[in-house]
Amino acid sequence: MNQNKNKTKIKEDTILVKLNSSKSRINFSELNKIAQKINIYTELENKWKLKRASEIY
Amino acid sequence: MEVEKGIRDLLKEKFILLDTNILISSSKHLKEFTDLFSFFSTNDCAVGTMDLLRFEYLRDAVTQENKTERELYLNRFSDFEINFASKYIKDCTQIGQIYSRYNKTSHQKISFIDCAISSILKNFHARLYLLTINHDDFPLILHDRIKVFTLDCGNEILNPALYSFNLNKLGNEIENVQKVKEIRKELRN
Repeated sequence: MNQNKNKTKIKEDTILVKLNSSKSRINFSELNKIAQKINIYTELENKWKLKRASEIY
Repeated sequence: MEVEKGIRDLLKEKFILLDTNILISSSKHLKEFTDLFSFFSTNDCAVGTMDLLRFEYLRDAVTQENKTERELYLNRFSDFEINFASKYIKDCTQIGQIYSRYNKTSHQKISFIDCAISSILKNFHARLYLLTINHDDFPLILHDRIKVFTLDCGNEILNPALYSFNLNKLGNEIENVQKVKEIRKELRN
């Protein structure tokens, strides 16, 4: 497949450090679960940052 | 997602580099980004990142839990990762110098990471495209805007766009510097 040929070419250029060539489709349901966790953690961290800033200044 | 045939053909089996702002926005609005990522997937595009972009995305995570999830997020949909090597520094510097000619003040300077991305786009110009929402960081003096997508995310509208590096534009910029040198020489004589 051309796609694989392209990837191999980039690999030959020694800039590619990770390759998931076997993966053909993104699993959005799995990705969504991770994204939701990131959003929760980021919101909590932002609240913590604001609280900390108000205590310092 | 409706995408013109010409664009679909151009992007067929190409590599799409995701800017940090895309990683952040897509985790916030994954539902709205799903169509766009599905389009890349069905068009046999490889979607990936770069070590410097990984750094930008991970450095905002204060807790270990957030860092772990962000790493998972990156790994789940990255088909490739580009390693910024010292051999690109020369190109990176040249790109930064070209931008400097157009900057009115020092605070308008484009960051090192954005110059590094452009140097990578230059080296893989026929195969690699950048997806970003920070349009000012990839000026059209060196890049081509291939396609702008519009995503209605409720309280905000995002316009991610695909950029490629234009070697002819770089050639013109280099030529312009030569011309300035020649004019200076003539004036001295």
